[in-house]
Amino acid sequence: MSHQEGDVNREHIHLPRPSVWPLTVGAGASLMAFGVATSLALSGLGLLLLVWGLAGWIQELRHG
Amino acid sequence: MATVASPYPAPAVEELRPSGALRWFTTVDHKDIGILYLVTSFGFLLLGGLEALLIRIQLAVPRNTFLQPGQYDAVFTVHGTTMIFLVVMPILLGLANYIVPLQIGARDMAFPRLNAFSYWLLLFGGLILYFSFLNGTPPDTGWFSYAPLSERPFSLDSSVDYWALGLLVTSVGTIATGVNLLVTIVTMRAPGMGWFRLPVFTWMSLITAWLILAAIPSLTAAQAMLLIDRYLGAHFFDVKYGGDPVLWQHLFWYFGHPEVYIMALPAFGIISEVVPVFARKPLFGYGVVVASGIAIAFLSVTVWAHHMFTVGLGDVADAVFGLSSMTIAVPTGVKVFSWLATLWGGRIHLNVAMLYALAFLLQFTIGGLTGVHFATVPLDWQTHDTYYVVAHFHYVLGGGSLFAILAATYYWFPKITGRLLDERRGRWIFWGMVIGLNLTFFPMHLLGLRGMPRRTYTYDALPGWGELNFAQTIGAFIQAIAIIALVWDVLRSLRRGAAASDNPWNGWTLEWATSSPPPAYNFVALPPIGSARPLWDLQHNVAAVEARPDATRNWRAPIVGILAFIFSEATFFGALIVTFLEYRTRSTGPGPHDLDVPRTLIFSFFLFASSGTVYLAERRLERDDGRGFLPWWVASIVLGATFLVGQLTEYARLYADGITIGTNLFTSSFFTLTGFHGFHVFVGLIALSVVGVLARAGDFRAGRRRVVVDTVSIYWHFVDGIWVIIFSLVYLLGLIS
Repeated sequence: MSHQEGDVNREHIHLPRPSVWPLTVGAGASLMAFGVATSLALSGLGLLLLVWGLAGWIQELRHG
Repeated sequence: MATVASPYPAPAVEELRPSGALRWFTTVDHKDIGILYLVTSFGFLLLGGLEALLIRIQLAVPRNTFLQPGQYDAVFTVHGTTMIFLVVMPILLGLANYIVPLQIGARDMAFPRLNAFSYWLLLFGGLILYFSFLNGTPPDTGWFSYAPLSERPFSLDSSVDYWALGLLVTSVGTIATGVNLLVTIVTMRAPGMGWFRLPVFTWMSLITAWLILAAIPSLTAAQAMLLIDRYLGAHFFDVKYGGDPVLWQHLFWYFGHPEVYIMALPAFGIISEVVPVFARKPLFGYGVVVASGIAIAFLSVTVWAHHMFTVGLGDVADAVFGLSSMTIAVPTGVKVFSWLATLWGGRIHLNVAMLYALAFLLQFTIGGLTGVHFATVPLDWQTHDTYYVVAHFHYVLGGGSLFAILAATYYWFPKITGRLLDERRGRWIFWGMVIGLNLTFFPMHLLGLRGMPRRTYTYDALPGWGELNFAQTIGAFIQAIAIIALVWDVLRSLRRGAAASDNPWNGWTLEWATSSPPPAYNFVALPPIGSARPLWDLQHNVAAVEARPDATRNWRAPIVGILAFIFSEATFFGALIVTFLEYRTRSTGPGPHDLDVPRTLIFSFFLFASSGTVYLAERRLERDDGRGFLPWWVASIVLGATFLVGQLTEYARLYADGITIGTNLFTSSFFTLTGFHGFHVFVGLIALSVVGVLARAGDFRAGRRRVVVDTVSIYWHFVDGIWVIIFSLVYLLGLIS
């Protein structure tokens, strides 16, 4: 199979590392919503999780 | 995804996929996320299917008492909600997640972490919905949750809340996926892949992404209003205070009908991939198929009121929406004829994927034709809320979208797993699905025309009703057996299926140019792309035609992303603004005349000025003047915060005068519209502050990460711009009138 110019080799492949922050932020946002129907304490916990996750996400973007 | 050398050490390929369960909790690989979507949605399909069986057992014979009326209401509500929001739509988005980056020669989606975030919201949103069963309060107001039934006086428990909150969470994820897909396809196409070299499935995914952004925020806005009614005592849909339940229907169906095409357009894309490959002919009328997809998307946001002909909208509205609804059949018919013309004269390979594609053609066309009946107002009046409607949409979603999904399952399973599904068992399953589907849903046409109403938990032993219903129940069980057999076959094939080659079907698009399953990085290299069928060109030694310069490929992904997000926000605010205009003078008591216009105007100037200071800060950054950037940026934060304080003091004054969100329709819509704007300002202030902190840390020196500043700036300008409209309509219009 012929390939076009600018073929990449494996050493130059740059992909993001696995990350726990999308799960953390998603869980935080969902917990905030869930707390509305159950207990606002859960919403508060969700907010904390959300803020923590976003901070981790931003740090990861800065260093990745 | 950049493919140039990174200043940061690139992870070894093995690092990209941790082993064990950790891989699935932390993955940001579009292929893993696609698999998560597919597996999760299939799990929900089993739940939704179980609910369908409960419905069919209850309706198998007249006067049955298998389910109580309340239980029946809950089961059909969650069945509809599950199938639409947690099964068909996410399966199609999961396929797009897996296949689109491969088809365009990209390494991943534009925003891999956002992609994972979207998936988790789907899962958690679904869990919130199903938690309602554990809590003993499943939603029972229908998947459309019509007001005023969904209002607090008629649904006292939390059932509607779980429905609304669960779908709000999944909808945010879906909108994020829409943004991600759109940005990926616009900015990450491989060199040479111009707009008219995109595979049709990718085209349809792009159009679907646009439709998601255009339609779903209307539902989000409606659900926000419903929750504000239920929790804060507003009156949007509360008839006692003049609230209009028909408004809910408008907002819901403005989302609801495009939603049908969100579930149909990717299916059209699948059929447009499968039919040419197994007819060994290029798709007939590639450009027309793409153009008709675009036409369908635009028309689909103009037809919503055909769901409301029995409301009594008036002759003019009925005529307009009847006409637009009939018009949408034209581009849909064009596609059907394109597929038929592709088959004509082809060397047809009748394997299971192709069988499902052919069955799709027939079954979807039946569903489409009965859809035209509903565009004919007198016919709609006769059949509305009967089983004829249920028959129609199950032919569209079952015979249409589901059969396309099953075609895709057999077509792309080898690529995803490296294994082939068994063709012989597949044929048995196929016939089970075809017979089961038609036995379940065809009699519904007859029952509907005989007047059997939908959404009722039982019926009298009228002539023929019992027999037809019993036949449907048998059909439902045949489908269930076929689906269980498919699950078993998938599990068996994963372990013992024949190994698939990289291109088992001799396909022509780029996903077949890599191994099965693809490596984490998708491709080491790409073949020349000179048409929509690069592998066919390669096999036939067709020289690649140079692509015309395509500036869109060079657009910066975050900028396209924020513009796409703003487009969805415009739909959201559009829904709130229309509601405000409808309600601003509808009730007595407090109204626009109670607002302090001069004071708000002064605070608005602070907000408008902040756009200017953001612009000045950006200019400083352009000149790499970090010291000059920060003061203007901080000034923007101060100005924005001042506006927010001004709004809060306005609220405090109104509350001190006894004017609250629950006072009347004006206050409900005023506080909601301006409150959501204030929330956007608040989020914008956080984003500005984060950028400010990063700027101080030197993150933007020497032009690095400028795109972050540009993206936040665009969002801030949007927040300011939308306030010009809101201020004009809420405050200035009040002065004039």
